[in-house]
Amino acid sequence: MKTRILGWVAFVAVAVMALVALFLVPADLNQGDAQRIMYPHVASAWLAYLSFGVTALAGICWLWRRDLRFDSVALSGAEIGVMFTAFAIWGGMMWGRPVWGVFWQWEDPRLTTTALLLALYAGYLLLRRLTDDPERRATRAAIVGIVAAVDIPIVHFSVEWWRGLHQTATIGSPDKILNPAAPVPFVLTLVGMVLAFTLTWTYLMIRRYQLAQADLGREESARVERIMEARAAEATR
Amino acid sequence: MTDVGYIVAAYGVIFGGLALYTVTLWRRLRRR
Repeated sequence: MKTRILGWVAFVAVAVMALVALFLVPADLNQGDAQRIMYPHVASAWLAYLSFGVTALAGICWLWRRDLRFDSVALSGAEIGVMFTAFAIWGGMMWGRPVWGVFWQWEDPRLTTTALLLALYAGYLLLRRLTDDPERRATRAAIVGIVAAVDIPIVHFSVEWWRGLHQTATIGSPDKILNPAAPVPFVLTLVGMVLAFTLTWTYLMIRRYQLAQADLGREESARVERIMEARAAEATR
Repeated sequence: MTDVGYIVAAYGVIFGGLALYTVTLWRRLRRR
């Protein structure tokens, strides 16, 4: 019941913030209305980081405690993280064409490392399909999930470490939190969108975790059934 | 409003994708 309420609150928050971002907050003087794409783009990028961070942390917890609930959390983070990474890339491309003049540039470190992040965690999801043994699957996935997380700080700091097309952080770096390089209405809209997306992320994580746990239960039932059938066949021989 | 096509494409895919994923999850959970 609480999860359902969370879902509705998240839905209303996202709908309200979409209307604010599209129609209420003024357009940027230089970028025009295309700047409105930044709100869901930045929120998606933040949730991609958070999702993969959770996947890596849950992977460590699985290796440490050997509790499959951690693997369900890791799977939820990876699947939802892949979705938000795809959203961030898509939003960035739709903003990049009118503002930069190009959809994509492979020479840009932020773009390329983000594409790598997407590929790594898409690979993580594919890897999980290679075995039916839940424990083996969880261990392999945990290792990949932890190693792939090395790319998260590389993506984030790529704009500081290397030169590229992508601008440096507007509010995300420590020196810009109190003095953001954007007008207050833009910052407030961005913070609102990030909060609304984070609420939605929390709801989706809970639901995906519940689904993963239900799938584990079904897998276990199927496994027990197979063993029983094998024993019955052996007994009749 | 300028660049409407890009804005619609960005918001449509992101918000539409979120809605689609939420409904898919919800339906898969109901089937379990």
